[in-house]
Amino acid sequence: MSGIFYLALRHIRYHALRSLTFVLVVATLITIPLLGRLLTHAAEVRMLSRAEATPLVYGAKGSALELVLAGAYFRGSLEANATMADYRWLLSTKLAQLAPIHWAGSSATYPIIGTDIEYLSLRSLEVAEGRKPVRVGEVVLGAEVATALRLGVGDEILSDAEQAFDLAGAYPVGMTVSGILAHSNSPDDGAILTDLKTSWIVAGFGHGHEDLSTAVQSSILKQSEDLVTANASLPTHIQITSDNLDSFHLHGSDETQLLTAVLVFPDDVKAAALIQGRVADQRLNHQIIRPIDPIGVLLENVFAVKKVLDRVIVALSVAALFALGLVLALSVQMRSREFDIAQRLGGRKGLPALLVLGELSLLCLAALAVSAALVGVVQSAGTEVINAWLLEVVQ
Amino acid sequence: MRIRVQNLSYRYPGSEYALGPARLEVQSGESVALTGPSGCGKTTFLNLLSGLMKPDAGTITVGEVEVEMLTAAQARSFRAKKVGHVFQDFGLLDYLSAFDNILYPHRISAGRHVTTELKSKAEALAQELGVSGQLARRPAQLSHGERQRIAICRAVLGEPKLLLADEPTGNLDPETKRRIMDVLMAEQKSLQATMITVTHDHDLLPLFDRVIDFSELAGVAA
Repeated sequence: MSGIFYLALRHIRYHALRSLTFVLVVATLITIPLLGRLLTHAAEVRMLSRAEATPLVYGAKGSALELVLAGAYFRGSLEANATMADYRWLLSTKLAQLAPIHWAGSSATYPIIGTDIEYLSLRSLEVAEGRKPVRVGEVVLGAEVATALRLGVGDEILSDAEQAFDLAGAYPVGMTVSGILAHSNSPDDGAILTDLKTSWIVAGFGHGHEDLSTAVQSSILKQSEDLVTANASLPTHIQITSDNLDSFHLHGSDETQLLTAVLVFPDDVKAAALIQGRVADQRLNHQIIRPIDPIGVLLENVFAVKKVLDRVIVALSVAALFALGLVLALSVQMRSREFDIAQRLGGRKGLPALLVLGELSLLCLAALAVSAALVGVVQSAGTEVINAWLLEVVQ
Repeated sequence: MRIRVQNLSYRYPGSEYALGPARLEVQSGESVALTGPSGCGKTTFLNLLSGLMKPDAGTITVGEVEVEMLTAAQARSFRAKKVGHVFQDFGLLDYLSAFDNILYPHRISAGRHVTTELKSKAEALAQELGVSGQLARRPAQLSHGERQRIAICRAVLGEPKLLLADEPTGNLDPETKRRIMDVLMAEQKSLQATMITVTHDHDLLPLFDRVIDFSELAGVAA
């Protein structure tokens, strides 16, 4: 049989372009459905695992899916309509551990999430480098953010400007990276986590004051012993440092500070039922959602669309296989002279079939190798892409 | 290898005519030229001799082998081991180098392998026929004469005892024809093989031990 494979290899090499086309077409036919299945499965697992790891989400009444996406996945554009008063009320039930979530804005499109120190332990998040934030103006970065923005412990990170020409709006806030989270294969990898006060400052609910006595000379118009007059130059951003930390304060009372959602981790099933009942009974403008419910519905809808796409892919694959079959039949016809010569020279029984099958098997092996390489490359990065796509689709 | 043919008859499906000599004997090591007009059955006769086709009647004995009695598998083995073919169109394959073309029968036949020894033998043979410098080239890169020498190398590499050549010098210029035939005859003598050559070229007939006009011998029967 080695002679057959040798001849098959020679034939493949001689018809290099045709062989390459065949390999690429077959590899594509194998890769697309396989990759679609693998990636959507991985994304499904990842989305469901996040939903399962978040027993309940509390927030303002409205779309359950939007609340879950904002609170648990840091996706969407939900207004912060819950307050610290809601958080304190939930706390007073003593039925669950809580993690307040305030989506303050973004930095290089990565969400800046205000929460408390409990969030890290409730989500079992480990700090791989540095430490947890301990003062206002410090953040910990998700692993993906740190890699993408090439930031390390001690580096500065700036929140995105909300509106470039809104002079009265919130200025970008400069924060310090105190730590980097270990990879958790969850939405936390793509988040910038900080304390609530910092997030409220980033959102424009608080501000600090600049000490003009230490300001740069170009900003000072007039200076006397007890008065410094500054010009109207605008700072590009506000930097929270240990020196100006005390000058930062919030507008309004602590109770009225806004939250996007509150993650609720009930002590047990009974506590979950009780807290759901109490919210339904006493907090008429709010809702408490089991994330698994809207996410389950979302995935059902998405995978219904995928089933249709699968059928289209099957139809295209059949058409492509017919085309390949035709190419193969023509190839066999073109080799009829060789088969006739081989018969005269005493070629073994079924030689034409062996030659064609030998070549076909080598081409298919090459296609499988190409497909495996493509699946490997795409799968390593693709789950994130599909996950992001799934979330984009519903927004 | 002695050839004996008796009362041979072959009729193409749907044809009214049966082709085949009533009696023919070729001695071992003899070179025979078959001549005759197109369609008189010369090529068919070569196919019958090599077991590629089965006669309707009569016997063909090549050496000790009764060719008409061979099964398909035995006939394939007989062709692979005992018969060397030289085709008019050379029968070389475009996708293989000249060297791979020479070794081709050994790659496609059951129970035969391409060994280092066989490769050395092929190289020596190519050297002997003056085409050792062309072995890496493909047939399209060779001249007519070089292609036919490569085809002869392929035919004689397995040291066959029966050489069948179907117009081996067709479409060649007179000088090349003569050179090719000299080479072929030399190899036939060296192998002590019996050679049956179909040819229309009367200039070459003096080179053969015997010339048979197949149209007279075949005895076309209704």
